[in-house]
Amino acid sequence: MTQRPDRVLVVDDTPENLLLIRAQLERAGYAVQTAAGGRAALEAVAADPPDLVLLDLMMPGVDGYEVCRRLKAEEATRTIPIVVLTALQAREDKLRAFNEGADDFLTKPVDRAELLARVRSHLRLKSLYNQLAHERATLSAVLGGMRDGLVVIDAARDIRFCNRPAGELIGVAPADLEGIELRDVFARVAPLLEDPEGFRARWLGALAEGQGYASFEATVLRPIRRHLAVGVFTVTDPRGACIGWGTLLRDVTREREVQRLKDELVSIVSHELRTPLASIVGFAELLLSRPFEAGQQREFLEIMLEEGHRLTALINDFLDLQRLESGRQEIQVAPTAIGPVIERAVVMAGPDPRRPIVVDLPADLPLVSIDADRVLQVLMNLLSNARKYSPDGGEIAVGARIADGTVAVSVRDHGLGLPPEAMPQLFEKFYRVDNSDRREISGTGLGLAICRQIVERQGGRIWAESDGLGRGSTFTFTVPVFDESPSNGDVLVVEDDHGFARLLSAELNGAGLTVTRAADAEDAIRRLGRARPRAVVLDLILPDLPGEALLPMVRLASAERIPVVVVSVKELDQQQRAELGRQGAVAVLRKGPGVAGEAARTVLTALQRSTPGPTASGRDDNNLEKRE
Amino acid sequence: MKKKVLIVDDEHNVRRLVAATLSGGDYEVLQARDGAEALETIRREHPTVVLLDIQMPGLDGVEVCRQVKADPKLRETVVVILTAQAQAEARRRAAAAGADTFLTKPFSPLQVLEIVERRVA
Repeated sequence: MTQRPDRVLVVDDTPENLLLIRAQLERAGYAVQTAAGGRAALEAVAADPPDLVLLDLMMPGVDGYEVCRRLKAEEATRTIPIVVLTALQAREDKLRAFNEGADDFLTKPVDRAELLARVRSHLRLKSLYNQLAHERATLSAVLGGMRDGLVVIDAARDIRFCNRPAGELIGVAPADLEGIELRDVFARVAPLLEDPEGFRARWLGALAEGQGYASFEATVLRPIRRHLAVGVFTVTDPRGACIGWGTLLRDVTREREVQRLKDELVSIVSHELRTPLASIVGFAELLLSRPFEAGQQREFLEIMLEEGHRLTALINDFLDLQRLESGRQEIQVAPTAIGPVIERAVVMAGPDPRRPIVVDLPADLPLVSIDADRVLQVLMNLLSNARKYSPDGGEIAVGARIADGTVAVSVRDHGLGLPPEAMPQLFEKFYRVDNSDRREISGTGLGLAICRQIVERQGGRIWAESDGLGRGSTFTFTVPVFDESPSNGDVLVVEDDHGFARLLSAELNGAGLTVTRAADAEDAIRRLGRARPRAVVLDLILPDLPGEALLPMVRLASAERIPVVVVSVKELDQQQRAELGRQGAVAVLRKGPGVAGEAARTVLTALQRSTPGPTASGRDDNNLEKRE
Repeated sequence: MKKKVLIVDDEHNVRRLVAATLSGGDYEVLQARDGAEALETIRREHPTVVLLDIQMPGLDGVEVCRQVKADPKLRETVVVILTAQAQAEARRRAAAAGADTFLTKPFSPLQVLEIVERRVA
């Protein structure tokens, strides 16, 4: 990097002086600018600030004193060193110049060696100052950019620095803290803390520890309740002497809350597991301890079996819910008729003469996008609840209606009903309605939480209604109506992942192409024949067939050779890609962010390449390109 | 007269287990399904020992225990907590309410029998 020469502005109303000084400075390697008067000098500085100003005092119009005053009053020019040139020996004038902000003076006639020495020395000071200012600005930006709060206290226990996050965490403006004594800080901060005396004691304790690092936690009540992790470290000079302390404040509210919920869940699960275990272990021990008559033995064993089943159901439900919540459990939606799923659930629920299930569905329900096995699980759960919570019997009615692009399925009973206060938590895990009328009704407390997960994962919602205790309840969930895309589309999207198929459709529509969707290979084959797509986007992992198996069928189904873009999560090696290419894939894309857009562009390019006239089958891409 | 033992639990099978455990001895076993029913039974029947679950609908076991121990006419009642709450916190709460013994589920019916026998003797 070449060093830019330092720039000096020389201001004098005598042309000979200007010439002489300019020559001397230029010979020494400086870049020199000149101004013949005060006004010209101010203009030159404003246009392009120099590194130093040599300034004559006695000038007509705007004189040197005024130039000094003006430059020192401006933030942008304040740090430019000013060396005044004066023929006057008078002490008064020099003092006046210093008063107006001049940094040094040279007496006319100017001695060359002295001129260069002064200029060099002031430029060095200026450069050191700049460096310092730059470092300070950097440090301040870094500290201000921190997520954690930082408060620095000097050895006299005055606050020297407080960054913005620290102020926010304790609800005090940083400027209100800097420079004030620790004692006063406590007075100001104490009303914000849950335990001000404890905080004070722990903080002072941490300071007193002297070397190293100490930490503790504190709760701030205002502006909002927050948990802070407080870390105190010693600031030492290069010789190791303590010159102050830094205090780091980190907001750990969220971490604490997550931990609390986790602890709570563990304690609930422990309770739920121990209850059935009490019967299993207890009756086993009792049976071994002394003889019981045959009838009693059988009763005890039946209880053990029942509780064993309950424990199994609990573990299964818990794991199922965990998988659903973490997203590890796949939900595979496909266009499905909901009627048969409802009928199946009713058959599986079995007969119960006191609690008959009556199904009443509208005739022309549209196909819905659901994971049929999972919806069956939801229905089984709701039907089982409806019967369980109808101890005195009563009809259970299953209905469905179309609403806003969804089908709403409802299960209504005439049982115990729900108190209004139970509604908000009804679908939370382990929530049980706390009412004496249902204390003998057992359950894992997870059924409705699982239902909610399944319904929401399919893009629906679930809710309950009840006119109150003893007046029955209605549980309703919605499932999205299958988006029956036009049977004629430019592009056939074969994809069982509903969300990704939607994304692809949106991108393709954006590119001006219409889309037909198929959720499995069987549907795809049907649509290939009917819809005559001009291109195919193909997922390799399909519910019924591997996508690879579909490639030859695409070729068979169409007279022309239509481009197929493969999009899959599968990791493929070179050989597998080549094989897909031979089978007709024009591109193989890996699923990931932005891939839907890339797939749409690839399809568009492939179509544009093959548009001029119908292409003869059997021709390969190279020939096509040569012909164009 | 037979000594009375009351088992308080919202779980039917747990009540059955305790009743079966005590069935060989010379006790009259009473049952209650929640806190309110428990207090009512204790006030009416004055059982010698109460085996008390904590987590029940309505009034919880610790509160039942506290009320029993605060009542001069009932405070001699032996309260044995039988709970699935295994945390130290539950134990502290029970102790603060004046419970005599604290057992966690799954518990040993033989140990319950032994405690009842000793307390009744």
